[in-house]
Amino acid sequence: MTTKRRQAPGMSRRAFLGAGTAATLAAGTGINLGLTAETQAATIKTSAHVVVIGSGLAGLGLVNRLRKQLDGAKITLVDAKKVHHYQPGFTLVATGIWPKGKVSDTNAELIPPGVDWVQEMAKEFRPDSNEVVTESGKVLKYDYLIVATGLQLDFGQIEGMDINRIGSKGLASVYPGPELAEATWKAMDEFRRKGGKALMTLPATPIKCAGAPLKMTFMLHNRLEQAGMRDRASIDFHSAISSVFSVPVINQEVLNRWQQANIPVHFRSKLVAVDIDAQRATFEQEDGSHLVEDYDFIHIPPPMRAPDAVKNSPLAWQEGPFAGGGWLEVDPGTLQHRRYANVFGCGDINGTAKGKTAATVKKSVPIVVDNLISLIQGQSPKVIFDGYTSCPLLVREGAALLVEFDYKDNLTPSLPGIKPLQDSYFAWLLKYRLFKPSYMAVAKGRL
Amino acid sequence: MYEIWLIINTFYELAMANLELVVGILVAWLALMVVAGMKKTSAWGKGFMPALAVAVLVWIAGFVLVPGLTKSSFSNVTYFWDYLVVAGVAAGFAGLAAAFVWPASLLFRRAQ
Repeated sequence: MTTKRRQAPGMSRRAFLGAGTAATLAAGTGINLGLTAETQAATIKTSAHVVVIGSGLAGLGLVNRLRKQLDGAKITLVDAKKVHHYQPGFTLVATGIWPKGKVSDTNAELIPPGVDWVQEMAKEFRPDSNEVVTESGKVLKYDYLIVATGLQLDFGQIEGMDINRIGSKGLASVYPGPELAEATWKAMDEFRRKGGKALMTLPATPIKCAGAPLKMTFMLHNRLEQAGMRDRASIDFHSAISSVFSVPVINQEVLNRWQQANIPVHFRSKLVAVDIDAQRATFEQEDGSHLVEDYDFIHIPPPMRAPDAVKNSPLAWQEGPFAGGGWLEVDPGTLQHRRYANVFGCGDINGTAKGKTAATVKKSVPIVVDNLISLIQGQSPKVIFDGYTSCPLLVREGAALLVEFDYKDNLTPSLPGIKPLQDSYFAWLLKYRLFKPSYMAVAKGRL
Repeated sequence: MYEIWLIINTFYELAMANLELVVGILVAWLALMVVAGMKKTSAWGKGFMPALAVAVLVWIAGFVLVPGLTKSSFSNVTYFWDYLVVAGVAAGFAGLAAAFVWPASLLFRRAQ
């Protein structure tokens, strides 16, 4: 097994800038120069078989990087999905800013040549024998496994909920997909014309894009104001936990803004049932009593958990706060499984304190690859993930807060002078125009 | 260095997502350059001032209009990074305008 370095150590500044200019020019001609961030990354020769489960942003970013950095490895990607959704764009679709067509791409175009794509879902993990079983019963042996399945929306925990009715009777949820995000906008648009009573909710489980329920609330308020209907509508936020966001300083900022916007927040108020036809929601209170509220519009971020294949496997946390959801038991720093050394986790599936966002994936994919390479070389994982995540928190059409933080709730702005609590056009432009291109570069393994 | 790579990749993917527009602009510009360059006595230096003047005008207009063109408004431009980004995007439009005006002004001069 040998290790070699490509180009970068001896690459002059002029050469780098020249390459950059060439890449920019190539953009205009559609020529891919093959320039990647891996010009500075280690490449090793290995005959290892690496299996990646899941073709979300994490899975795609991983296989693209592994293809470039593992010379001779067999790489298998397991996922039945043929369409890739840009999930950070769902809030833009659900609030009438983007058309739904902007958030879907085909997986086939994002999976590099040389990767064996098994178009099935993983059904069972057998880490003791280094095997994954697919839905058709195919058994895949692996030397190294990376679990990037994403998570499971668990609407079933809400009695009476039917996602097929999203878009009608004031029922809304930004999470299930582009079509239902568009249907959510239809429901919001209808509500802003008529006014009435809106209920915004937050479940008790860890959720992906934890800012989405807040963005939906800010945007509903904004859309009502734009329509001149704010005084003919009420918005109440029911949080199943004792906050609305996990980072205290951001939580307080949001609460302050909502107080000014006349959006009361009800803590420890968990949505447990919805009567869609009657437009009535039931919330379980901290003391166990039930509060029943009529509504004209309701936004439902569902409880979330690990997919059954992970939840019911030995890979899930066996005890502690992440065991209930069946989240993957990884070390939060190295992202290596705590009990199975040849297993790593990446993305939403990880049972870590924070970070079910695309920003976390962007930062953690290279870390997982680097640590996997260390392992293949017989070394311990060296690179430590600090839990970075980011949320461009829409506060109205045209402005957002650029919130970045880590596991320890430290605000970690990427650029000097960024004010996370400042309404910003720059943050809006990132969300509206620039994040999707950078997301695609992550999926292609260049960032 | 990573930030530079991030910017390059972001604009590369942005261009890929708008490939027809990018190629169209590039082809039109190259055609203009070829036509201007075919003039035997093309005085490229004389095109500089008109190009600069148009660039300045486009930059000023862009600075005011860019937020509105991106579903925002100038009232949301509130601090250093906002102004920097608006100025940068406006500069991009200004540069593009200058790139077209420079050769075009040479043709216009000859027509006179």
